[in-house]
Amino acid sequence: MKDNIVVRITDIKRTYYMGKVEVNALRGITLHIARGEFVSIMGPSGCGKSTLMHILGCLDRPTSGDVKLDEVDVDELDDNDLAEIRNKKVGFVFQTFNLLPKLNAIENVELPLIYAGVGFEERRRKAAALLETVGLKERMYHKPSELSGGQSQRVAIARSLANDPSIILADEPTGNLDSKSGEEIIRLFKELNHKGITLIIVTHDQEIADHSKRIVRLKDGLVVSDESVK
Amino acid sequence: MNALIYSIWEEMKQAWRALLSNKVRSALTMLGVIIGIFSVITLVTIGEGAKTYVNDQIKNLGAGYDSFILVAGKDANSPPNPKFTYADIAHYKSRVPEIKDIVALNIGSGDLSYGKKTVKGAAVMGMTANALELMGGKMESGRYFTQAEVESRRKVAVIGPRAATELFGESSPLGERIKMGGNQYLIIGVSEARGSVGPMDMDRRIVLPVTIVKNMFGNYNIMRFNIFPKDVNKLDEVKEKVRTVTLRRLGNDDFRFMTQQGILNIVNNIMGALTGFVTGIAAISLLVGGIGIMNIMLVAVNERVREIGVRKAIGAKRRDIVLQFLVESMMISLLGGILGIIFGLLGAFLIMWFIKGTLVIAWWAVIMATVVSAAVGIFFGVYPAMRAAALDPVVALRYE
Ligand SMILES: Nc1ncnc2c1ncn2[C@@H]1O[C@H](COP(=O)(O)OP(=O)(O)OP(=O)(O)O)[C@@H](O)[C@H]1O
Ligand SMILES: [Mg+2]
Repeated sequence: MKDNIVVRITDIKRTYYMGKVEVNALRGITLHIARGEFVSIMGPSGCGKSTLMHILGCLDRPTSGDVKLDEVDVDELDDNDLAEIRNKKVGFVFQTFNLLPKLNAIENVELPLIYAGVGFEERRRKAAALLETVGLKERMYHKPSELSGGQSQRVAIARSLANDPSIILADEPTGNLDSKSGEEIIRLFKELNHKGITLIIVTHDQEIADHSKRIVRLKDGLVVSDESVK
Repeated sequence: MNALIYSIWEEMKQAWRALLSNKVRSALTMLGVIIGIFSVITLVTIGEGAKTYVNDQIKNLGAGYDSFILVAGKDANSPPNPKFTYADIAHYKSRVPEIKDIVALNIGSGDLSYGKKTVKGAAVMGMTANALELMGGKMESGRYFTQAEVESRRKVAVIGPRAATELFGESSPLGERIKMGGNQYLIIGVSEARGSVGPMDMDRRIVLPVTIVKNMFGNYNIMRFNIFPKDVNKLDEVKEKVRTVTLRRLGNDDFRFMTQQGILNIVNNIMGALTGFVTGIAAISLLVGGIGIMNIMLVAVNERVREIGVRKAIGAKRRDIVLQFLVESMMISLLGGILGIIFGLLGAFLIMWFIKGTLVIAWWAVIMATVVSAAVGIFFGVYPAMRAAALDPVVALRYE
C-alpha cells in the first residue's frame, strides 16, 4: 500500500508575511493521495486551496511540514530539482489556461518536452498524439486566440500530460468555462483517470466535485472533511 | 554540452518569433548597434580599399616591393634643387654593383596639339628606355623608345590612349608629329589604358626620353630615380649604399628616399588615427545601443512575467529562463550587427564606386563586428535575464 501513495504531505503550514501581518494560509494539513485517485478540493474563497496546490506542485515550499512526491522528499531538493519535478512528475492545469499566446496548440504542448530535452521529431509526435487524446487533432496549428475556452483548456490538459506526470493538478479548471465546456473537461478528466492518471482538482462546483472519487474540504487552512464520493 | 546547444537552438527559434512579433520595437532597439557597427565597417572597408588603392598607385609609379625611389629634395615641402643627371645612372651602377637597373624620371606638364586639336595640361613624363619593362607598362600599338634614342635625345613620343583619340580620333597616330612647347615630337607608340595615378591621368600623358624633358625648374636635371636592386631582400642595404654614394656625389643631403613600405606606413598611420576616432564613436554608439537593449529587455521581462510563471510551472529551470532572455537580447544585437555590416559594406561599396576604387572586404572586421555585436547583446542582456529568472513562479502566475 505504501508504494502506492503518490502524494504524502504531513502537517503542512504556509504563512505569508505581509509587513507585520502574518497570513496563515495553511495551518497544518496532512493528506495522502494514492496513485489513480481523483480528488476534488473544495472550500470557501481564501481557505488556501491554491496555496496547497502550489505546494503539491512544487511551485512553492511550505513554511513547515513535510512534502513527499513519489516518495521523494521535496524539502531536500534545490530549485533546479524542483523545476525538474514540475517538468516530469507534475502537470498543471490553470483556471485561465495559461497557454503562451504566440505559440500554436502543438507548440504549447511541446513546451514541457523542450524543457525535458526531447528532440524535435519525438516531441512533435508525442504532442500530436496528446492533442488527439484530448480531441483536438483538427486544431493542432491554431493559436490560442483562435480556440474556444474549452478547446484552450484541453490544449492545457494535453500540455500537462506531456511528460507522463505522476499527478495532474488543476486549479479551478472549469472556472472560466460555460457549463457545457466544463462538463466536457470533466468528462475528459474522468477518461484520463480511467487510464490510471492521478488527478487533483480544485473546484467550487459541487456537481463537478461529484464526478470525482474523493472530496477534501478545507476551511481557514485546515482540512475539515475528507470523504469518498458514493 | 549537447543539451545546452540544443536548448540554445530552441531558445533561438522562440526568440526569433518574439522579435518578429515586435518588429518596429526590435528594429528601433537595434539602431544603436546598427549605427555603431555600420560606421566601423564602412571606415575599415574604405581603409582597406584605400590601402589597396595606394598600393596599386605606388606600383604604377614603379615603386613596387622590388624597388625604391630616390627623389631630389630633402622633404616634400622644401623646393628641391635637383642636381641628378642622366650620367648618374652609370655612376650608381658602377659604385653599387647590387643595383640591377635604374629608371630615371622627370615629370612635368604641357599642352599637346595636332592641327587644331589640343590636349591641355597633359602629364609629361620623361623616362628611360627600360621603364616600360621595369614598371610594368604595356603598349597598345607601336613601340617604346630605345636607349639609343634616349641618349641621342631624339624627339620621339609615346602617348596615352585618350590623348591619342582626342587628337587623332579613329585614325592611327603612329608616325604623326605633335606639337608641345614649340617642339615637334614623332609619335612612335600608344600606351595601354592605365587610369590615373594620383592627379596624373596616365591615359592622357605623353612619355618622352628623359633626356629631353625639362623638370619644373627649367633644366634637364633629373628629379627621380627608381632603383631596382638585384636582390629584393637587400633593398634596405642597397638603399643605404645609394645614400652614401649620393651624399658624396652631391655634397649635401638634399634628397630623400621613398619606399612602398614607407608610403604605406603613412597611409596606415592616417587610417589608424581615423579608425581610432571612429572606433571611439562606435563604442559610444554600441554602449548606448546596449543600454537600449537592456531597457527593452527589462520591458520584455515585465510584459512576460506571466509567461515566465507558466514556463517555470511546466518545468523551466532558472537556466532556461536566463537563456531565453539572453538569446533574445543577443539576437537583437547580433541582427543589428549583421544589418550594420550589410549597410557598412554597402556604404563602402558606394563610396568606392564613386571614387572608382575597388571594394576590399576586411573579413577580420566583419568577424569582429559579428562577435562584438553578439557580445553587446549578451552583456546587456544579463541583468534583465537574471531578473526574469529570479521571479517567484507563484507570484509570476498571479501577475495580471
Ligand atoms: N502571496 C501572498 N501574500 C500574502 N497572502 C497571500 C498570498 N497568496 C495567498 N495569500 C493569502 O492566503 C490565503 C489563501 O489564498 P489562496 O489563494 O490559497 O486561496 P484559495 O482557496 O485558492 O481562494 P480562491 O478560491 O479565491 O482561489 C488568502 O487569505 C490569501 O489572501
Ligand atoms: Mg485559488
